[in-house]
Amino acid sequence: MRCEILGARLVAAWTWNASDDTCGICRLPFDATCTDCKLPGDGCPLAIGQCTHPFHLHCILKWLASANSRGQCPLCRQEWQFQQQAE
Amino acid sequence: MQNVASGRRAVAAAPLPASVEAAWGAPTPKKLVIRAFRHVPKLPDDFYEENWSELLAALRAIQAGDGQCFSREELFRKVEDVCLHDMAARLYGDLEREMDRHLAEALAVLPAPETVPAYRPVLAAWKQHCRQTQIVGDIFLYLDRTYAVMNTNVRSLGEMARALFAKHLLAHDGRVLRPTIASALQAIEKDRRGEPMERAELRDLLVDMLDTLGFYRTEFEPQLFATTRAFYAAEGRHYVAERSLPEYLGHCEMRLQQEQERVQAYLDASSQRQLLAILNDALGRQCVEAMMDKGLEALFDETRVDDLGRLYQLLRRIDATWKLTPRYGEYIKRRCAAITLDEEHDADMVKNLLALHERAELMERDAFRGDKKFHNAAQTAFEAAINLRQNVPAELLARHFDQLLRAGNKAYNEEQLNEVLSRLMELFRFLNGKDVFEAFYKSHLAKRLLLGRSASIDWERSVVARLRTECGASFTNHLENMFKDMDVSADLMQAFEQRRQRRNAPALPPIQFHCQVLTQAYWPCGPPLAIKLPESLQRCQDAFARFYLSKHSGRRLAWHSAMSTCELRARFPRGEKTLSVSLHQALVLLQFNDADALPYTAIREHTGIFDDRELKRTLQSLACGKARVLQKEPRGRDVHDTDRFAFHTDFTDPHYRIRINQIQSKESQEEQRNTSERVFQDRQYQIDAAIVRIMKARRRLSHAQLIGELYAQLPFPHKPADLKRRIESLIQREYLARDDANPNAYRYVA
Repeated sequence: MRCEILGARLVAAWTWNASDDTCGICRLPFDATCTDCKLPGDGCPLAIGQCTHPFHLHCILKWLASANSRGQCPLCRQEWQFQQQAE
Repeated sequence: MQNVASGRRAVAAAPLPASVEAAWGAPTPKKLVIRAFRHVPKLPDDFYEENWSELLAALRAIQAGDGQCFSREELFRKVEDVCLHDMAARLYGDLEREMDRHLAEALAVLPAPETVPAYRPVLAAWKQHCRQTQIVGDIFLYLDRTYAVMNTNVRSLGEMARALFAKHLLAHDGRVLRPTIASALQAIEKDRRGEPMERAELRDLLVDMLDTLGFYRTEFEPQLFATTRAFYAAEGRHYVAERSLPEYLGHCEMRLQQEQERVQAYLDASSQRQLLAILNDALGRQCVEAMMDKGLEALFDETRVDDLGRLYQLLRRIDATWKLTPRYGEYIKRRCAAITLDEEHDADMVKNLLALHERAELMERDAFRGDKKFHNAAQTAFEAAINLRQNVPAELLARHFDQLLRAGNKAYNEEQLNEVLSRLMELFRFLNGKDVFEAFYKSHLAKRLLLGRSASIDWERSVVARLRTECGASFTNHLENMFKDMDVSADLMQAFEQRRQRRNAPALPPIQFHCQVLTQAYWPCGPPLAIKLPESLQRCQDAFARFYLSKHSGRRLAWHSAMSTCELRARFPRGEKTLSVSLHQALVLLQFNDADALPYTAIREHTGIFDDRELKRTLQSLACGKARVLQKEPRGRDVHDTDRFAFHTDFTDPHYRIRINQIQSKESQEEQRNTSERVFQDRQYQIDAAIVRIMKARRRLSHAQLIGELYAQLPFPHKPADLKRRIESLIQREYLARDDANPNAYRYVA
């Protein structure tokens, strides 16, 4: 053994783990924010339905609050259920 | 006399009551009669002539300079006598005639004005006249106090004497006065030329004599002003032609002081204002512009604060500082532009700008007495000149910040650093493309934080705080969140360590393992590179990833090996060393545990660094840098696909810990391109957003109007061509449409 590792400082970057890169409602990337937020990251998380469709949390909440949503996922029209977050 | 007395009694008796009448009416035995003189005493006929002839004799003696043989007491009595006998008017007239006659004589026999200086005999005559008037006044005091005081149309003796002297000075068309004044002016000119002259004498002449006689203001002063103007105008012409600006400025100041002294010494104080005004006008206003043309640039160049201060004061006096302000502004702009546009010395640009800024500050403070106009001119000039070149100044400024804040910078102590930072902030304020600065600053900051190169986290925060006060919170949001990520990572690592120890989890290799988790959006990281980690490190990484994802579901981690660092213990035959290297460098070095020498392709295969540029750079830093822990075959600076590398068995170094730096130059060029690219993209979004915002509000706009509004809104410099391209793109994407009626107008498509 000529060389051995004493220590390491690794760098990782986290992004949202979603099946899509952009939000189906506001069409903005998940790495960015929904239209109402200024700062990406923890402040503007995303929500994934049981139908596996991801949206910005703020976007989907706004959609569900509107009358013509009928509580459905805007992409597949299934009834919207938040995917249980694994602990 | 009797009649008078009895009459008085009759008048008194009339109203008396009877009883009293009876008492008075009693028999009067004796009567005393007082009689008046028979003859009223008469003045001798020659009473006046006799007195006057004596007085005249005395006067003559006084005029001749010896009045000692007369008793003043006696003479005084005579005057009193004459006055008491109602002959004051006659005496006054005779006295006046006599003095008049004497003065006519005295001033007529004055020597011709060829004698130098010509005023001297006149002054002597005046002094004598004053002395005589004094004595005459004493003798004729009674006349003065009774006759002259009682009659308002009769002048007092002193006044009369002065008027007579004045009359004779003026007589014969000013035959005496003119040469007197001319010679006085000559003396003043001599004084101005620095030749010796009698100041006290001149004071007697000008202030005592001319001013008392009333000629100072009417006859002397206008001529004084005229000659002063002529003198200084000539001097000004001479200076413009032959002297340098600093000499001229020193001279002006000296002249001003001299002229003030002169007024103190032998002129009337009331002349000062006008005199200085003439001086300032003739020597200052008429010449200063020509003089500034001659040498102003050199004064600025050499930062001659004293001379500039003089110039400023001179201009202040003639109320013309506005002549200097634009010149100053232009100078700053010219110098600043020269620095900014000098592409060959980009490395020194910030240093030079800082120096120029410091000089400007010095001049404004010490020479221009903190005059706001100059400060503003400089600010405008700096701003215009720095932005003559796009992006590069912003980038270099960011790099300068980086150099200051990087660890190992020992050039400044805390106080100095603070000062330099303030100055850098001043320069930053001038930048138009602040977004460019931010992008570069961010990428430098990321490196400092991740590679542990930052000198002090407190300094980092203080700079960001300054940027925030300068540009607002939205500007520094990302930067501040980067600090936050660092803190969060530290907490995270603590939790990770605790879990590692608490649970009887599979033991991890004995590596000081640390991991930074960044929020992708805040950090300027490129695409992750897939590499093959050594098994031990991979286990640590996996363990951490599991730990992290268990805490934050819904996320994924991308590993950025380019920013990762490693510490290696390397056993060279001639000594053990600790190497601080990048992760890529470490991977390459680890390949030589099993092999003495490897070809390039094998290294590429084993490390998994398939990006040739990155791998070559890494190899170059190990084999061609300062500390050559690898040997390259064949030798040379550049790495080729066919090269072979061997572990350097003879490696020695005096230090135990060695940091092997990455090759910087090419890397930073590429990074620079990337950063510029990012900025450019960001700007495009901003332009799009601005166009849509404006059009949404206005619905219909002509092209020119739209461009105008955009200019007002966009916070960075931009070219019309860029704007056109964005409008084109928005039309394609159907946010806008060309107006049907007018091809030069757009309309918003909802």
